[in-house]
Parts: sequence; structure tokens; C-alpha cells
Amino acid sequence: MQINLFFKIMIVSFLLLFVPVNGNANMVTKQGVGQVTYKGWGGPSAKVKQQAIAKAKLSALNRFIGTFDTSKMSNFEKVRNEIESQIDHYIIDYKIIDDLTDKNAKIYRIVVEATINMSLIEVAMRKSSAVLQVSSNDRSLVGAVFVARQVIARKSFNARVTTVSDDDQAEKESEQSSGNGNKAKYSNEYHKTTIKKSGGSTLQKSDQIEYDVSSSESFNTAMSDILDDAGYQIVEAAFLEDESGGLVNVQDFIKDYRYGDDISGKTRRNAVKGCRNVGVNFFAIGTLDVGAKDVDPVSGLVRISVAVNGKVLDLRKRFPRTIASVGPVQYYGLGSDQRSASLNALKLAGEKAAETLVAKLRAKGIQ
Amino acid sequence: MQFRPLMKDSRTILTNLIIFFLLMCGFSVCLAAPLPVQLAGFAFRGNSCQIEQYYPFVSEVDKEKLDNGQSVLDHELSEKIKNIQLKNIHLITDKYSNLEAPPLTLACCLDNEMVSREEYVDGYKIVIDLSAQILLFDFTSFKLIACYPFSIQLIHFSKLKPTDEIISKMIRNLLLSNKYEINLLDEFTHVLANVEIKKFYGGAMQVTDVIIEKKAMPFLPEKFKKHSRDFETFVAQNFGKYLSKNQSISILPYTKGYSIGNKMAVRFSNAEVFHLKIPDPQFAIQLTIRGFKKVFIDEKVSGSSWVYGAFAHVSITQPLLNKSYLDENVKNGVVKIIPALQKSVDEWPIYQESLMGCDVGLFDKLTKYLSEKTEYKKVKEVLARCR
Repeated sequence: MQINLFFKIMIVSFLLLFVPVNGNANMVTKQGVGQVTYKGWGGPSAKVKQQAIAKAKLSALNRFIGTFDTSKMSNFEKVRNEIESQIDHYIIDYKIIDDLTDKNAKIYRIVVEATINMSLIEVAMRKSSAVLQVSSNDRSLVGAVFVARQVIARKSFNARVTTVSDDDQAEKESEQSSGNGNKAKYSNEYHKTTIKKSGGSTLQKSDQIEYDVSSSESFNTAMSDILDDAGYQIVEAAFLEDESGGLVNVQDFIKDYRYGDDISGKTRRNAVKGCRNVGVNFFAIGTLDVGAKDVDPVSGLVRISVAVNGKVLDLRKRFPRTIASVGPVQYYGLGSDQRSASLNALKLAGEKAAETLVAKLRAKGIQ
Repeated sequence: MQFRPLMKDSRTILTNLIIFFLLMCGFSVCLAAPLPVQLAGFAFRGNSCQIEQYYPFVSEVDKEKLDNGQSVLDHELSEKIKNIQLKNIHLITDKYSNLEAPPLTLACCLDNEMVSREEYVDGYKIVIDLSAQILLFDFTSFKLIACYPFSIQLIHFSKLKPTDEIISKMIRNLLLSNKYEINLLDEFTHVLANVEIKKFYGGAMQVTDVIIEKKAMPFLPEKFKKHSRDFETFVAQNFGKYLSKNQSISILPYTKGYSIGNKMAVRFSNAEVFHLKIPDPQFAIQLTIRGFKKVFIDEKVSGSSWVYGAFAHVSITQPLLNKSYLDENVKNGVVKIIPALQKSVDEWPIYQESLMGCDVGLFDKLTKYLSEKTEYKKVKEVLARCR
């Protein structure tokens, strides 16, 4: 048995050497500097150097955190103490770049390059979010409707030019005559001054645009994935239609967004009413404008832009209030043709919009 | 009777030890196995829309395709690599889109194409500069790992007016033939054969800043006076080239004013564009071109002797630590005899030689001295960390 075990350990150890390790799984490298003031004449001790390294690791982490937006930063602040107290868990590796000892000021400084495991930090932030502190049954439901529109017809109008001109004429005539008996002198002067004034105005009427509006699957999926991962329970509006007695109606949103730039008050009021009737406390509304295609100057591929506007309404109180919003913000998708570029743009927009909303919902402690 | 089981155990242990020894031998062989690296092919630095503007002649050559659709430059590069012995890597030249491809990827990336034509009484002087870099990057994270710059220069005199068609043929020969006894792709393989490609490097250096002082400006040719940023890049590329070559270190590309978010766009022959993330350098190099000056030294019947001097300042620092390893004014001169019969002298090529000429130039000499002279001990330590 012992021999078999010995043999097995060797084989397993040997095979483990060939297991590919993905060293790039969401790893970020950042440089950080640590500074410690020491005492005595013998230069920095090993302990002082270790303290400086620890400070340099924290500095690297802070330099990385500095790239977060406000909401993400506020979520990080909730777990900062936990992460900093277990810094070696989150910084998986570091290398010393150089150090410097100022013997006069008795200061020891060191610069390290730390490899930070971003995934572990994300997990720590996720764990701390209010929504994950309650069981899945107690989590609030978020009704959601996202509609995307794309221009199908554009009617442009010629500029209406109005020209006004005004001619002012002034005439002046004078006669003079004189005589001395033998001779008579007569002169006549005539002046005519014409002043032409012209002006006018140009009236340019806005384009009349007709859109094709639909409920965007790519956007929905990308957005739902991230919100779901974060612990929020998404209920697509289509599933609320029957239960809300038709008050939450995707077609109303589509109809409003086909000609206008916003969802009408009536549609929103009905949706809020419908959600409250079925016990859905939060409602997310998102609109997407899919732009015309052009050529990406960097890659030469087809490029499509998507402008996103979105918000989450809190329906728990008498009047609904916006607790998280995103946009208007524009994202670009690239592809070999218009269809793939459009899908990529919608997917990217969905992911980015959802990340922003999740960070804001977490920061406000929404369960 | 008690002896037998002991024998049996001893034999088994011995057998196990032999197996273990053999396995460890196998492991050692595996450890010593060359690093698999994918060859991505020939590429251009820049956005898709900039390629024809920045590299008008090389991009024309790149459009030439073989029957199988492969670009002639990619094909030539693969062929040349087959003939060289690489130090510690196994270069995979199969199709790039292969899913089994290792993450480490290598490319020959052109970053400068410069052609100058000067008219003389008896003909035309043509100078062609082609600069490129060996880029090693991680294909999964698109992070640049190492970069080895290199370049070739052709100075040619022609009685015929150098039309674009003639220049195009000359550049084609610099890429696909050995007509002028220099070839960019040969230089690529030569540099590649002499560097150590690794997955991780101890440190990285980068020319982060180039300053051209006012005193230097009047000496520059018109094209650089009009576009001083091009001259800054030219200086940074040349310093990087010599530092990399003379000290066998990787040097990150100069990006000031060219990259957004520390990313570098690279377009391959198959039209794919990658945005490579350039890591922060551990050690930063700042270059200042202080000026140029010529000093008369002697005159004879045949002509006069002059020293053409280039003056610069070089500093190497660790930005976060604010530690300086080198902070020095440096100068160099090259002696030139101007024939008495020669009426006019184009002085910029001589100043350029004094600053960045091979063997005689300031940059080449200084970067050689960095590991030779004792006063550069601190720099030597930094260089050792970057290898």
C-alpha cells in the first residue's frame, strides 16, 4: 500500500508539473512605493525593509484602485480593511524593482511591482454587497425593459431661405441762374442716391426620423447576465405583462420610442403601477440608439455605435425615485459586417451599462 | 527467512527510486525544452487608416499576395526564420489562427519608413531608413512583454531622378532581396538569433521623454523642423536600438504623443489589428538633444578638416523612487574632410552620423560604454535587472 502510495504521489507530482497554469486570469501589475523611517546608525534592518515592502504593496493596490470610478471605489471602501489586512492574498506576487536609503534623513524607500488578482477583489466586493447578505428568496425583484431603435427612414428638409431687400432712393436737384446783362449763366445739378439693404433668414427644419424599435435580445442577455451574477433578480417585462393586467406593456415602450426620444409619462406610470401590483419593487428602463455604420479608422472593420440611457427606479415609496442611472453614453462594436458589428455593440453596451448600474446599486446597499 | 522480504522491499524501493530518477530526468528535459512561441508575421505600427500614409512604399509591397493568399512579406519572414538557429525558443510558423497556438507571440513590426531625396549637380542622393521592432506579446492578454528595435539604412547615389516607382523598387529589394547587401528581414533574424526570448523579464526600460533644445533646431533638416515630433521619435528609436543591441536588453517602444491609454495599435498583413498594452517601465530614460557644432581643425590643399559635434544629455531614473542612475551631459564628434573643390556641404547627415551613426555615433558609443566603464556601475546594475 505504502509503495503504491509512493508511486502514485510521484506520478501525480510529475503530471502536475504539466498542468497549464493560466497566469493571466484577470491579473493586473502595478508599481508601488513604500517608505519607512528607521532608527539607529546601522541602516535599515530586515524588519524595516519588510515594513517598506508591505507599504509598497499597499501603494500598488491604491494606484490600481485609483482607476476605479466613484461607485466602484465606494464599493471597494466597504472591503478595504479586509483586503488590506490580507494583502498577500490579493497580491499574488511581487518583485523588487529597486530601493534607496537616505542615511541623513534615515528613510528607507523601496519600489515593487505587484501582481494583483483583480478577480479576488471583485469577489470580495461582491460578497460585501447588500443583495448577497440576504437569501435569494428575500432579494427584491427588478422588472426590466430595454428597447433598441435604429433609423430606418430619414426625411431631410431643404433650408427655407427668406430674402428681404429694401431700396432707398434719395433725389436732390438744384438750379442756379445768374446774369449780368450781356450774358446769362444757368446751372442745374441732379443727385440720385440709391441705398440697397438686403437681409433675411434661413430656416432649417429638423430631420424627420423613423425608427425600427425592438426589444434587444443581445443587450438583454448581456445586461441580465451581469445583474444576475451580482445577485439581482431580473424579471423581463414580457413576463410581467399578463400578471400586471397589461399595465407593463413592452409594445407601449416600443411605440413611444419609435417617434420620440423618451418613454412617455403614461407608459412609465402604467409600468410602475403594474410592477407595484405584482410586488416588483424595482424597475429598470433602458433605451438604446443604434447608430449608422461607418468604418473604424483603427481596424478598418465595420463600426456601429450604440448610445445607452438607462435607470433603475425604486418603487417602494409613494413616488418612484431613480436610484441608479447610466448614460447617455456611447459604445462601439466592430465586426466584419453590419450585423456582427451591431450585435457586438449591443452586447458591449449591455455589459458596460449593467456594470455601472450594479456598482451604483451596491453602493446604495440595494438588496 | 526474514532476509527475503527485506530483499523484496529493498528491490522495490530501488526500482521506485530508479523510476523516480527517470521521471526527474524527463522533467529536466521538459524544463530545458525550448519555449514555444507563435510567429504572427509582418506588421505595421499604427491604426489601419494610418498605414498607407506612414508606410507608403512598404504597404504597397505588403499588398502582394501569393497564390495561397499569404502576403509575400509573411512568406519571406517564415522562410528566413527557418534558416536560423534560435537560442531558447521553438518558433511555430503555422497559421496564426491555430487554436493550439501558444500565448507567446512574436512579430516583426515596422515602425518607421523614411525616404529622403536630395538633388546634386551630378545626380541624386537617396537615403532610405526602415526601422522595425521584434515584438513579443501575450496573445491572451495582449500585453507587450519585450521589444527589440532594429533598423537598416540605404544611402544610394543615382544619376536618374528618383521617382516613386524607383523608390518602390528599391524598398522592395530591401525587403525581398539582397541586392544592396542589406535586408530588413535579415536584420530581424540576426537580432532574433542573438537575443534571449523569455516569458518574464526582470525589468523594462523605456525612452519616456525626448527634448530638442532650441539651439539644436537650426541644424535639423526641413522635414524635422516642420515636424519636430518625428525627430523626437527618430531619436528615441535610434537610442533604443543601440541600447537594445549593445546591452541585449528589451526596450519598450517610445509612445509619447502616439499612444492612447498606453496602448499601441499593430496591424498585421492579414488586416487584423491588435491593441497591445504597453506596461509601465521600471526604468525611464530621458534624452535631451542640446545642439550641434562644427569646429575647424586643419586645412590642406586637398581640403579642410572639421569635427562635427553632437551634444546631448541622458538620464536614467526610477520614476517612483526618484532615484537617478545616470544624469550626464555627453558629446561626440566625427572628423570630416571637406574637399577643396566641393562647393556646398549637406551638413545634416554628418551631424546625424555624429549623434546616431553606427560605431562612430554618440548613441552607439555611449550604450556600449554603459557596461564597460566603471563610472556607469549603477547603470550596469539596472541593465542586469532588465535582461
